Amino acid sequence: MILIDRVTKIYDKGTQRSLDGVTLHIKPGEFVILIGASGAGKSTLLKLLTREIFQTSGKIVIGGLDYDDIMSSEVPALRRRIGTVFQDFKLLPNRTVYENIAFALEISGASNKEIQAIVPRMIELVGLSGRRDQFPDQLSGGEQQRVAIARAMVRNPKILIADEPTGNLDSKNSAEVIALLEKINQHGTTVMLVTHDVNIVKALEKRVITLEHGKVTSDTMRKGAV
Amino acid sequence: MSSLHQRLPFNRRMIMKKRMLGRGLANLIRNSWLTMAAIVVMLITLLTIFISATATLALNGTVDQTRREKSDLSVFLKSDTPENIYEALRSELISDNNVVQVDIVDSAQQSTNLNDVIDDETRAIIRDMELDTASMLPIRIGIRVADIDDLDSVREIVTDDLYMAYMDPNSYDYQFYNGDNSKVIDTINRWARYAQTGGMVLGGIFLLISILVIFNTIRMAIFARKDEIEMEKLIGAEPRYIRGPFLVEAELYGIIAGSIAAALGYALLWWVVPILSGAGIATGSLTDIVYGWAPLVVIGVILLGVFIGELSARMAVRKYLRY
Repeated sequence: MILIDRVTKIYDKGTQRSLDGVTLHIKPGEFVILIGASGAGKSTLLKLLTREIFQTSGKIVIGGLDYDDIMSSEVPALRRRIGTVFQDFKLLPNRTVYENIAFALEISGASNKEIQAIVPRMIELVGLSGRRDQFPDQLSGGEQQRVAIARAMVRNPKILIADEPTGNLDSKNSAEVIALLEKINQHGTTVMLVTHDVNIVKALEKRVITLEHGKVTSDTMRKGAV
Repeated sequence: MSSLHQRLPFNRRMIMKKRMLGRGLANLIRNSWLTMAAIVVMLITLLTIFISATATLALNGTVDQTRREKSDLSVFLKSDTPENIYEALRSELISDNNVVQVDIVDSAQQSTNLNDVIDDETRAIIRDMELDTASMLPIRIGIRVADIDDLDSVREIVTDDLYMAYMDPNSYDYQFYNGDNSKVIDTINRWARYAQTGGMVLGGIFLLISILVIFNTIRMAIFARKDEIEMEKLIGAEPRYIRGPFLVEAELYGIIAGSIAAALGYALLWWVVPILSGAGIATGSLTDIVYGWAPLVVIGVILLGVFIGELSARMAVRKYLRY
């Protein structure tokens, strides 16, 4: 599903390698946790996957799609195939829960009928049925992140990338968000969770990849969740 | 090209266009003060261009009409031409439909007229040289025509062998003699040029101001929606879907300003045309074009507004909305 082969990223004019020969293979339906301290290269890796930046060398293939073959005009289509969740939610403050989720379908050219059929199901999936007409500032952090997850999943992507989704949440809300990600993974979506929260890592029996100074220092299957 | 390259079906593209229109309209309402400023400046620009174009039309029409109506044609016959000849010429000319008036000034009258306009020194020279101007000066046949551009029939009469035999050798063919009218024509011509140049300069200045104001309005709208645009990019919105609402917003400025400019322009014409006509300005060609082609003129003004809006917005989007 995701093949990252000896990928190196050196930012313009920089001498420091943000990623240094990273090789990863993530199978379809896997739940992978990517951990590492600040500056380890986690965000760089995610930005490469969403084509916000280009690798300096190496190869990235997702779902059989070689990133070297993707033209800049095709990047939006690539991003529509990958669900992304951000630490700061990135919700539209002047739109309701329903409208925020619908927005991801609107930009894909979905008809109003399709939107009306899909969005309520997504709201239900993330457990916000009673909140559909509320604005982001009327929701808790955990609820906002669930809206963001619903928006990321509304186009039914095969891959979901979650960049520090619990970074702004308390432990209770964090647990709820992680549970939601597990639920999504159980439905067959490949989930790549980036976090530096050790408690989350301990709580899950998942594959854990550790990045340090731009290199993969460990790639283990964690057993025996706490 | 990868497998990602897929063109949306027609109905989906239409849905997207409809949404872009809706979002553009929403932007327009959301930035109401900026919208108003942009529309007012564009309105002034379009009105300036409309007024200068109509003024040029009116003044050019006046020049043309003055030239046609007030130009006199003169034919000079030898001073000894018998009276029955030039009277026959007068009769033939006056029967022509294009001829409004025929005046005959004989040599004696020509001499008197000359005496009235020359100074004492010239008068003394003529006297000293013993020149008999009363017998020397040719007879002038002054012909006033309705349309100076339609002289074929007059030419045919004047060039008849009977009259050509008496034609003054120093003025073989007929010629224009505009007198004071040429000054009037020159003056109107000059004003027409002023109106044209002034209109172009003013129009150009306001065009520049319009472009700057709309450019900045769209720039501010882009900055105001920076986070939203960032999010749109990240979740896979096509660049044209992100750009579209800003272009629509600026096009709407053009449509609104163009419509108001056309309405105000026509109201102004409705009020000013009778006044201009009363002042001797020829408004015929102006009203023929502006009233006769009203739908096209209105569409033209609106399209000009849309063009200014779109151009300015494209510049702003190109500079501040890089994908």
